[in-house]
Amino acid sequence: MFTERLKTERNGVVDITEGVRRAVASSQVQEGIAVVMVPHTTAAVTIISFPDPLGLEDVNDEISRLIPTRIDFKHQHDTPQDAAGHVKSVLVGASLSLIVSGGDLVLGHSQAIYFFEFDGPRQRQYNVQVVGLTRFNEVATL
Amino acid sequence: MPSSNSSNPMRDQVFSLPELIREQVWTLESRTRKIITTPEMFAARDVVLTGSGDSYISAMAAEAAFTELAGVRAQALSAMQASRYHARRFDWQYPSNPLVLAVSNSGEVARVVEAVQHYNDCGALTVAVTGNPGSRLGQAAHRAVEVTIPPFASAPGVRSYYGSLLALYLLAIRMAEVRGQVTADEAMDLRRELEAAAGAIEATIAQMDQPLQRLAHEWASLPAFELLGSGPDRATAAYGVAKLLEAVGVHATHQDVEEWVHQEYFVADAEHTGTILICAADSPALSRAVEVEHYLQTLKRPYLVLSGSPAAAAFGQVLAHTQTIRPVFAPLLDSAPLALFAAYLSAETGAAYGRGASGQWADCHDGATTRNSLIL
Repeated sequence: MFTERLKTERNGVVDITEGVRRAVASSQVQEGIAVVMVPHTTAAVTIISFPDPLGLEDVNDEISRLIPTRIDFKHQHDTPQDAAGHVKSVLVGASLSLIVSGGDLVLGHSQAIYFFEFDGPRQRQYNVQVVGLTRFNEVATL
Repeated sequence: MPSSNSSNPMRDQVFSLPELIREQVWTLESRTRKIITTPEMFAARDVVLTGSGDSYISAMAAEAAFTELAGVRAQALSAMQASRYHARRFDWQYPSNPLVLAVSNSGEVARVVEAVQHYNDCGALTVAVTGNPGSRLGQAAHRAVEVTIPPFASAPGVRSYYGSLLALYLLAIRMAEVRGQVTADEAMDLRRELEAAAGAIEATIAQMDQPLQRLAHEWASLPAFELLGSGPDRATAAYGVAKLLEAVGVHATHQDVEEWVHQEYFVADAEHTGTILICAADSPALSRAVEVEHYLQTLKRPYLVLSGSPAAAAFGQVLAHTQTIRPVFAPLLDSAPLALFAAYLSAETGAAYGRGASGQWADCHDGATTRNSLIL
């Protein structure tokens, strides 16, 4: 399994596409599947269009409009931002399954993989597991 | 470990503090974490910290933590001030406001119980910080944080003071976290700083043990003491005075560094008034404290400055520790040497703690003078 650590901002969005590509390359898998997973409950991972950064901000803003940080969440073990972060994480999702072909991720031309922070700044990480066949038709995992 | 043979219960309590802090900080964290709900944390526009004796001093010491960390208006009031003056004149416009943190180890101190009753009547949210949740205070307050300190040989309050102080600091950190003044990670770092204070205290009392023992020997015959400090250091000065009064019975007062220049500076018997000036590292009062040291020299007072680096370098006659601690937590570090000094002074003079609660002082047996008072 490939793991990369991140230092996030308060409501930061981090492009992790290159990190996931590195994981795929180091696995030597030519044809298979890469699973990207964030082991956190107040963070998420998803695919968004990258060319216009304002589009990214729109997504983040809309998530916050849907789930504003309120003081009346039942979950009060941590903070209101944390409680809202749990809900946001559920909606966006904690993992992605991606196709690997020709030894690389299959992504649309405007697609990029983003790590969403909902309760930062924090020390975070994401994990990548790649499963498939190498160019020698051997089954490989990383 | 103690480095001399003159062991006594108060000294033993001081040397038990590092272990106590390591034991209690996370227990108290879990007890304070959800004692106040998130809506209540946000409803509080003012925080009142109240108590009597050591408990009032712990309130004084923690006031700055609420102001600086949680960003909320906070004031430490004596139980009398809180009960008979403040509670009755507070402008009661908002629910669960003020948040009242009422400290009493026994939970039976009459004036603190009375203050909570008055605040309850006016819509405040009251939380007892007590070693006895079943006490009158525990019953009167809306909630109670149990500060159970493992038993130890009886002595003027050292361990109980630290228990109250830890609970109040943890509540301030929690309020800062919930209100978004600090992130969850920063809040956890602050809690770890409290835990790390155990090591800092350990090193400080090991370093100061022999010097304080010598000082107690030199100052054993002095008839009066003054302890000076500003901001959180004022609370440390007050704590040192409380320990001198309880352990030795010698006349002792505490004063703000600036106010001292206007008042106690004029004490006639300067050469027999032992003076301890407390100036934590990074104290905003440093420049004035340096000026006051000059006056102490001119007055020929027997004096000592208790400080830490880098402030200590500014003084001439200083007992300095090398530990660092955030200024709002400084009372945690600087109170221990003062309790140790009082413990040694009691050993030097042979004074019974609290005058043995006998003879003229028999009224105070079992805390009766603080418990048995008409509650209005």
